[in-house]
Amino acid sequence: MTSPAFEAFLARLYTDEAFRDDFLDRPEETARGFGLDEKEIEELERLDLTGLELAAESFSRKRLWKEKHRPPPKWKRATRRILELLGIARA
Amino acid sequence: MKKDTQKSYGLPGTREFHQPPTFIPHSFRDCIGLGWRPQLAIGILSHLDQIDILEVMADDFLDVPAKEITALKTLAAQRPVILHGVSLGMASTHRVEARRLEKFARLIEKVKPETWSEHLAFVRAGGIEIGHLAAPPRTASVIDGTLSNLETARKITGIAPFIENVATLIDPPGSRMNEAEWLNGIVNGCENDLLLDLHNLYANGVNFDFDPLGVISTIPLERVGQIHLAGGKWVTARNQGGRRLLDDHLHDVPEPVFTLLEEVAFRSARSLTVTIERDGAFPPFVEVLREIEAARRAIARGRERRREVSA
Repeated sequence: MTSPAFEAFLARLYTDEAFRDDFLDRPEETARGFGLDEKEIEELERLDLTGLELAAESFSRKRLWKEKHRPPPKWKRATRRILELLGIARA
Repeated sequence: MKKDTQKSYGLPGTREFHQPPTFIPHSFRDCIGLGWRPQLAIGILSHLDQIDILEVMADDFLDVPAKEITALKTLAAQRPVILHGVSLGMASTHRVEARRLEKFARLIEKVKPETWSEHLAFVRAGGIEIGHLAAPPRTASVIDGTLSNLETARKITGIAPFIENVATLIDPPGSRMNEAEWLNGIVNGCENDLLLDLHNLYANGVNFDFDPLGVISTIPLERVGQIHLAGGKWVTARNQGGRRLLDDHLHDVPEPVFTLLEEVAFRSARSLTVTIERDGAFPPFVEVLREIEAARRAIARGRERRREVSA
């Protein structure tokens, strides 16, 4: 049991607030619409809702932190280096 | 790089508590180190005599200019370095991406670390990046997928990474196994050794009402070569109610985690490499050193008990 689709469903559930709200309002319908089978839908009836709320918040904070600390792309670094060599930007 | 970490611990250890108990082979050394963070760099470099090993976040060095790789190599020349990954998503029915592993392989080739490690987690699925380590459904099919991914990782990098148990705030949906069954299912199916994160285990035990010692007593400790220690805090669910212990790496290592470390040292005949992880809210470095010493004392207590029992 558990398919790649089930993991994809969890990834969406953890990261997409609107999808999560849909699921909390209409769990069976949302899961079926995602293509999960009956056994997988049954598993979701026992979902740990406290954990879902806290995990989703935690993942969201991590994504925001990563976005904030993402290193500049290579082209930006290369441009910066050229400007430094030309004396236009400070090293 | 040495594949057998037990043979790679020829590290300086002049203090008395570094001395191996008599029943352990002469080459045996427990090592205590730190997760390398730039904010801790001055403290680490000023106290290398008290730090046996450094664990470096591999993902921070996958796409960096050559000068940063050179800096990492300089660091690795001063203390043994372990590369630690967070982005591969090994524990999944989805195949780990070869291009990501190839980047790891190139970094490993350049830095020549003692070894490398990754988590038993999935981090993406269906084109969605979760952003962090998610505990997968603990099922036979995920174990199969994980074993396949670990084999791919070994083939591409040439080294079987240590694999780390993860903390989870949510009881992994769709699971058919408890934590001990899950870890045993993985370890028994592969050659990879375990990086046992004791705070992750402790937090999961607190959150999902099981005794971490019960897990420690059922996993094959001869396969545990590395240990992680960290701290966390309680978080409350505002909408659903209830609270959980979050493994945030922003707080001191709690005493029960040192007790678990002592217990592993007592029960295990294998040398252990222990890393303390701190990702932020950095205290004065003297406090970091105190935690290192506390870890050394916990291991020493466990080894001493083991020696008494075997005497």
